[in-house]
Order: sequence, then C-alpha cells, then structure tokens
Amino acid sequence: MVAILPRLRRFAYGLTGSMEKGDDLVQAACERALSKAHQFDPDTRLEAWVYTIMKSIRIDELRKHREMAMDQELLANHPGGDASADTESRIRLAEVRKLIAKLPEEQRVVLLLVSVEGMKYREVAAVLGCPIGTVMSRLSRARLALGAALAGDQPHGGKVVIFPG
Amino acid sequence: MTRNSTSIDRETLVAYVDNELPRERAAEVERALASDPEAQEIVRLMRLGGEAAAHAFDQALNEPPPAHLLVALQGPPRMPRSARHRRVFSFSWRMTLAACLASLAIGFAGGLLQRGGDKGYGPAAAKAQDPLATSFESALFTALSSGAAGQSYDYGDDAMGRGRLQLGRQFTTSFGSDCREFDRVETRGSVRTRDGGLACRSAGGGWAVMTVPR
Repeated sequence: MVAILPRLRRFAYGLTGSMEKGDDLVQAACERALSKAHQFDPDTRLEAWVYTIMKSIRIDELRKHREMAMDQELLANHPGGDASADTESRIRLAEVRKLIAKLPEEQRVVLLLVSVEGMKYREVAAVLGCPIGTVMSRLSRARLALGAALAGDQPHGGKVVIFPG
Repeated sequence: MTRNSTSIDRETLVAYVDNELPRERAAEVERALASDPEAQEIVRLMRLGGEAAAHAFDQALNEPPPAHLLVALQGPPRMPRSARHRRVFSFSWRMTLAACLASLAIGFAGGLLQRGGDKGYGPAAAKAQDPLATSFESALFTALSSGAAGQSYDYGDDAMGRGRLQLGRQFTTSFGSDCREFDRVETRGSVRTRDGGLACRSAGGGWAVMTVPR
C-alpha cells in the first residue's frame, strides 16, 4: 500500500522521543497539510513538504511549552517494539534513542532527516530553510556526539542499562 | 592539502561519510585521511553515529497506525473546483489519501463503506453482480477463514476471467478489529488489473472488505 504515513510516524517518533507524542505530531501535521493542500507543489516530494510542516508545528509547541528537554522517563519506559530482535540489540536501540533525545533539537532534526530518512543535504536545507553549511555543521556535531557516546560504551561491553519492556 | 588533522574540517568529513562530496574532493579527503589517524577516528565515530540512528525508530514503520491518526487523515480537503484542483492532488497524494481512507474503514468495520467504484476505491462488494467478483469473494472468505500469510488462492474460470489473491499481514487495529491485507491480480480477456486491500472482522462477526488500487 502506497503511504508515507509510516515514515512520517518514524520521523515524528525520533523528533519527540515517544510514539504517542509522535503520533500527535503526525496528526497535527496531517490536519494542517490537508487544510493547506493547495500550497503543495506536486514537483516536490510529499514527505519533504510534510516534514517542513511537522518541523514548524514542533517549533511552535516547543515555544509554547518551553519543553526543550525530552520526556526521558517516557522514552526510557517505551517498549522497544523490536519483537524479533534479541535483548541486547533492544537495549542498544533504546540507548541510541536516549542519546538522540539528548541532542539539541536542531541537531536531532538534521540527524533524523539524513541518517534515518536518507535525505540529501540540499533537501534537508530546503526543508529547514537554512544553508547547506548549517546542515553539515549540525549533522557533524550530532553524528560525532552520538558516535562518541556509543563508542565510549563499547570497550568492555559497556554499562548495562535495562529498560523495562 | 597539508596532512595535519586540522586541515579537514568536520563538515567535510561528515559530507565525505555521506557521499555528499564531489568525486574529486572525496578523493582528496581519502588521500588526506590515509595519514591522519585523528580524522580517521572522527570518520569512524560519525559512521557509527549514523548507522546507529538509521534503525532506532523502525518501530514506527512496523506498527499499524492508531485510530485517532486515521481519523485525522479523513479530514475532507475542501478544494476549490478549479483547474488547480487536479494539479494539486498528485498521484501519490491521492494514493495516500485512498490508503488512509481504506484504513479508516477498519475503524468503522460494522459494515461496508458505500463508495462508488468510480472513486477508484471502494468495497469489494460493489461489483456483486459480476461473476468474477462473486467468485473472488468466495475465495477471499475461504482464505480469511483458514489461510496463512503469503498463501495464494486462484478463482474464476476462462469464461468469467481468472484471478489470484494472496494473503498478507495480519494485524489488530486500535479499535480491536482483526484485519488482513491481501493482494489481488485479475485477468479479464486481455485486461490485467492488480489491486489489494484490507479485510477486517466487523462487530457482527462478518468481514468488511475494502480494496485500494495499486
């Protein structure tokens, strides 16, 4: 079935740190997208347009609630959902999500668009309305911070963090 | 380019990792990296960070969307009836809406959604007078009762046309309905069509079936 909904949900999950908050964001974005359908340029990718909408809703929300910090408890308690994966990789994925949640919002957005959604730098620059150089500097900081944190955990098997679920 | 690690900035390194550099520049970076252990380590960590992030949120791809989200997508776009109308609704946009509306039907699986076939999507029963459609429904019912994911069922004959349906994923919606995806390929004379859809258990124990064009 042709639908970008799963990818929108993945992006929103990454952005907000929880499936529930992510779905609320997707819902708001879909409603806005439907009401502004006439503004959509069919020559561009639909998901890029909706990402732009999601990003601007997210900025509004963050301003409103001053909720710059993620809900760490919710994030930590969220079940991994990777039924087929073994426990070790589930813990690992939860750790990765936690680290991504700790990144500044502007870095997290770029990381999600490039490393999760697979967008090119110029597409990301268009979505965010910023120069490519900004995309690159935010991305390099995000990737390095995440990589360094994960590598730091590795040498002796790392500290074991068990997340419920 | 000097061989000092500070000669390659981090923006360039991340672009190198992501294959975003022009080929010549990438080759330069590669040469410089060979004698720059510090930059090599940065590249390694950037790769690690990117690869770790890539599948961290895949759960969202695998879970069926919750009902409130599907309801939100129902919002009828109030488009002016102008030339612009057609242009705005590109193919993928319409497909997305159709898919979402089809999913929406799951939520109200008490009965069939009465949509005309001319809309491009609608209940499978819309062509109930058609022998091949009747044959399809009978095959689908058998498949839903006992079939496993991936199992195929043939129906029809040379006179009415032939079809094959294949069962897909099984999932439960937020409303608690059990649903199955299916694919369908039909051949009538020389015309071959392919679509698919969803069948969901309705409150009364029957199946509500919705097809979506591919």
